[in-house]
Amino acid sequence: MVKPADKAKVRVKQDADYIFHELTRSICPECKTVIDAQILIKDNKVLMRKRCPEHGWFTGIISSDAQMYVDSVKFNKPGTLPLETSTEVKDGCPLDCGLCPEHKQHMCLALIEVNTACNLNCPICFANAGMGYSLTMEQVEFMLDRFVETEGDPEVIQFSGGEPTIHPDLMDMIQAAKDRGIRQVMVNTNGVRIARDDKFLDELAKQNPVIYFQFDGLRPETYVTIRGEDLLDLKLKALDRLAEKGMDAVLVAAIERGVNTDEVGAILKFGLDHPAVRGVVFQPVTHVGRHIDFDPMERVTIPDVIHGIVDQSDGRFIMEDFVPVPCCFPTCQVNSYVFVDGDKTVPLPKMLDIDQYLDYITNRALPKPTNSKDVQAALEKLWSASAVPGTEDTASQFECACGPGLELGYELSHLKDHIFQIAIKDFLDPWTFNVKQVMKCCVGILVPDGRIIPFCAYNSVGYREEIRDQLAGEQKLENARKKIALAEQINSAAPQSADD
Amino acid sequence: MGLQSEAEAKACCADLYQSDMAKLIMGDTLHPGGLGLTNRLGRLMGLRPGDLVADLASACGESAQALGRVFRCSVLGVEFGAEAVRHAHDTTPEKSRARFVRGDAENLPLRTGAFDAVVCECSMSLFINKGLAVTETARLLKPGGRFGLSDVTIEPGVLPEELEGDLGQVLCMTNALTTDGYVDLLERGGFTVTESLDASAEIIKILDEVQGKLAAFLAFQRMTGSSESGGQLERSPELIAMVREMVKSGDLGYWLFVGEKRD
Repeated sequence: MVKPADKAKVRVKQDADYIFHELTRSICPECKTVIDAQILIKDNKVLMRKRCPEHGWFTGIISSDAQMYVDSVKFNKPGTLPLETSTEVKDGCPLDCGLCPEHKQHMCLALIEVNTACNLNCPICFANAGMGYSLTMEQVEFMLDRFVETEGDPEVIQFSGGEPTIHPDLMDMIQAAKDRGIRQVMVNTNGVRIARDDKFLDELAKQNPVIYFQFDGLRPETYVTIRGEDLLDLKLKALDRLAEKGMDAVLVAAIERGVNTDEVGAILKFGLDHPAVRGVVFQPVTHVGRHIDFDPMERVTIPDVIHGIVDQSDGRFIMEDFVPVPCCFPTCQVNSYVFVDGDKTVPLPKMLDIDQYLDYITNRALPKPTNSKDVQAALEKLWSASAVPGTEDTASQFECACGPGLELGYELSHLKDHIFQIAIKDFLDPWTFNVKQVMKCCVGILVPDGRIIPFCAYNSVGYREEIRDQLAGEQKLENARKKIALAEQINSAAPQSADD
Repeated sequence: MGLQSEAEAKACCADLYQSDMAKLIMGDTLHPGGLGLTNRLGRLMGLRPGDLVADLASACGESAQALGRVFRCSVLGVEFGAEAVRHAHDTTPEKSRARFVRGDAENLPLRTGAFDAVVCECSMSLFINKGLAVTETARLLKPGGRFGLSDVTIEPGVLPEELEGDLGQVLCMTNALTTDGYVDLLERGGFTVTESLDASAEIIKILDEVQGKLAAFLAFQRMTGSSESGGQLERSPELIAMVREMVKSGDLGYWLFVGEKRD
């Protein structure tokens, strides 16, 4: 018989204070070893909890809205496989990148980092810009050819760095991409050279790429914290100069907790009003490369940015205006499109039920309009990593998708100036790294040996360091060779010794 | 051919190009596959740095310039339209490896036996006297020189009534040959066909694109209540479906051929 005194000792089973959502694989933030990771839901937040045998436990937030995270699954579109892969499956994801035959998606967008040098020295830089390498024209041409071989007809290429605008061959590189039938070329820049160099801007305007323009906010302090100096005036000047040239820009804002989370509404409003700006991409700061101190439980995630926009834009947007992107893993990115006419802004998701077209799992059998195939095709292109704002393609897809719901009075060639893209892209870092997402990643970095490495694997797993060391080493060797050749030339040309 | 008839054909193309329909269909690309397919043709031909290449019917010179840069060869574009030649001139940078001259593909103003390669993209189908154009090409080439041809292929008698006339002309369909027809043409003109490649998927891509644009355009028209383009645009989805079916069944296609000049 149990005595009353023992009753207090009876063990009562406790409920866990979290839901075990799934098990995936990640990496140790310290040593990059591939380890198991639990995805847990707690207080409507999604956490990643993992253990490295050597460095212990790590817990960090990956989404501040569990409902949104779980709901996004239905937007997972079947992948389209590339024509060719470049590596074999050997050590398993993410160690065989390039792509390997197990990758689940082709590349909607590829980047070439043409150099490592930069004309700024920001405290935050995922690429850890500085000394390193500068690609030759021949290397870039080979990479572009390889991209064409694997993709067939690649749609978008982005030149990045370092700072690509200080590479002497940038214009030829843009031309080389166009010569290979790549229709959209983007240049990722801090805008310094656009603001200061007339001749450079003239050349750039001739090539007319879409400018992927780093723009973190409208407060000088934001730039001081993120970029190390007040760049606001320079940024504004560069954008005005782009507008004068009739060029298109997309603002790219790195969002960090306690720095500029309260500026997302202002950045968006500024973009909607500025004549050169066709879209805004919000990127929660990833903690790779150079970054400032942070708490993995306080990381900015996609829902934080959406909430910020909704709270800071006077009721112009609601949460439902932002829809996951189906081509990549749908937790990686959300998009929205807005029709802008003067002060009037109408988000596309207000005009039609996007779920009805981009829900690939539950496949709701609702009555669909007769042109539903066309509408679905248009939406799939808009909700894709290869959608480039400011183009007629984007305008035509927008019109096709929502035409009947909107009174448009514009020809397509003008309509493109009224379609505005908002994207929120949550790149992975060693704290949030999820093999499941990387396996379906559709944004890749082209490297000189012909591999295409998924962007987040490149930055988190160690590929960036490997490539940089290798290229910097080759460059040093090449420079040494040149010096020796030059020395020999001088020696042989010099007058013979005195005893002649 | 008649220079006259080519002039007419070109003028007709130009007129149609101004129309909504043609804008929808052609978009920015001059031929199926765009510069991507131009490059594929260059690779199939094995173009090498330093090669001297002629581009027949070079239009505004986009392909010639791209081939010059990608393969590092010298390209001479020959184009019948004076306006196009002028445009090509004006847009060619000093350092470009491409130059342009005015000329007729059936009576080329170029030197005998001087060229390593000749390309002709989506234009042979427009030439009335194709045999003459091929012998002229053979004349230009050094022994063993390569002729790269890309064009629309069509089986005889399958062109629907709606696509005969101007529209068929601008889409290079009316005077196109079968795949065997092109091979015959090259063989008879002094070439051994070494490569042939089916690129018909490029037509499907254009159709997909056009379908999207058309849907947008029709939605726009329904909204604004305008119907300026009349019934032709309204019937376009039907036409697109028809063309799609023709590509699927193999009646319509787009092929690349490479011929090597026989000694």
